Amino acid sequence: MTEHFEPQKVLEIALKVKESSKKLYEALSLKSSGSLKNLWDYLSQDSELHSKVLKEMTQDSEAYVIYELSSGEYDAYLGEIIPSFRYTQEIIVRKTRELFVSDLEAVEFAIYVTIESILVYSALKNYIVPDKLDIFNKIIGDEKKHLTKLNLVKRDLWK
Amino acid sequence: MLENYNPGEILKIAVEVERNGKDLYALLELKSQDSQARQIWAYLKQQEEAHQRTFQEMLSHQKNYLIVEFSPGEHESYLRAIASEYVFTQDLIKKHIKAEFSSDIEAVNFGISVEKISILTYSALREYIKKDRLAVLDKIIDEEKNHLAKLKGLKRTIEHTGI
Repeated sequence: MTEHFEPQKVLEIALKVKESSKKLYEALSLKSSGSLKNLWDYLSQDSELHSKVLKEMTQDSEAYVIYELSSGEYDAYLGEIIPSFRYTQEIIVRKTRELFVSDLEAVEFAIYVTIESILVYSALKNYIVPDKLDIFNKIIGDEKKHLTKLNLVKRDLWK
Repeated sequence: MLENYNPGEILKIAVEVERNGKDLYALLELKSQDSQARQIWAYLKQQEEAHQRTFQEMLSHQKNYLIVEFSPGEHESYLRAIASEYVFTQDLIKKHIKAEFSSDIEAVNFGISVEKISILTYSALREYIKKDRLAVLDKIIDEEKNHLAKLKGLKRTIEHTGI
């Protein structure tokens, strides 16, 4: 069944994804050197910053989230992508334990996590109080920067 | 793999991805043993064909659709990055047209990943579309979201019934 959608619940999952991502990127940084280490450090620091914002949003959700919104296909779409996002969090935890067979695999996994995050955050935007949207848009903008950086590293690793 | 994609080139890639997507879904429709799955593949095939036509129209009349003067910046870098992932997806679609999936669930999961990257690519392309033509692209984005929901539904059915 499609999961019943509650914006606050999505924020809680987003927070867990961020906290788990931070641990994963820290673990990857420990195993890396040079520009790749810099990348994981950068992603880890941004994950920490985003965790703080998302924690504030979940703790004071009434100030950030619109609960009354006409339901429609958009809700169905968001309801469909939430379980994947939760699953993503589970895989991040597993990957933090197991890590990866190559740098390319690690970068591709980080791209997958970033794509999932952009999809969920973009869908969640409709449920954020308008005067708090800037805060949320900043996170989406940062995720897009992450994807850009990760894609450049992936291109280098492919060479 | 290193390309500097511009909005016009992304339209060209979109035509190709939708065409290949249509071919892949046609193949899956043909191979599927289950009527519900067959209906969904047939529906997706028709939708991709319609999207291919729309993107072809946009590509053929770029001046009517694309904002010509756009200041380069972070969004441009993001568009290039997401386009690069989109091209990679296109290569995978071609690969899967040649080589069959090992299971129905693998095919559905692949379809879901194609819809996701399409949603992100077309959403990034929105910034370059003239305001009075945005409805055309928004319709496609909404349909891709709907496809994603349908594929997720099919995935649940397969997982529960093992079709």
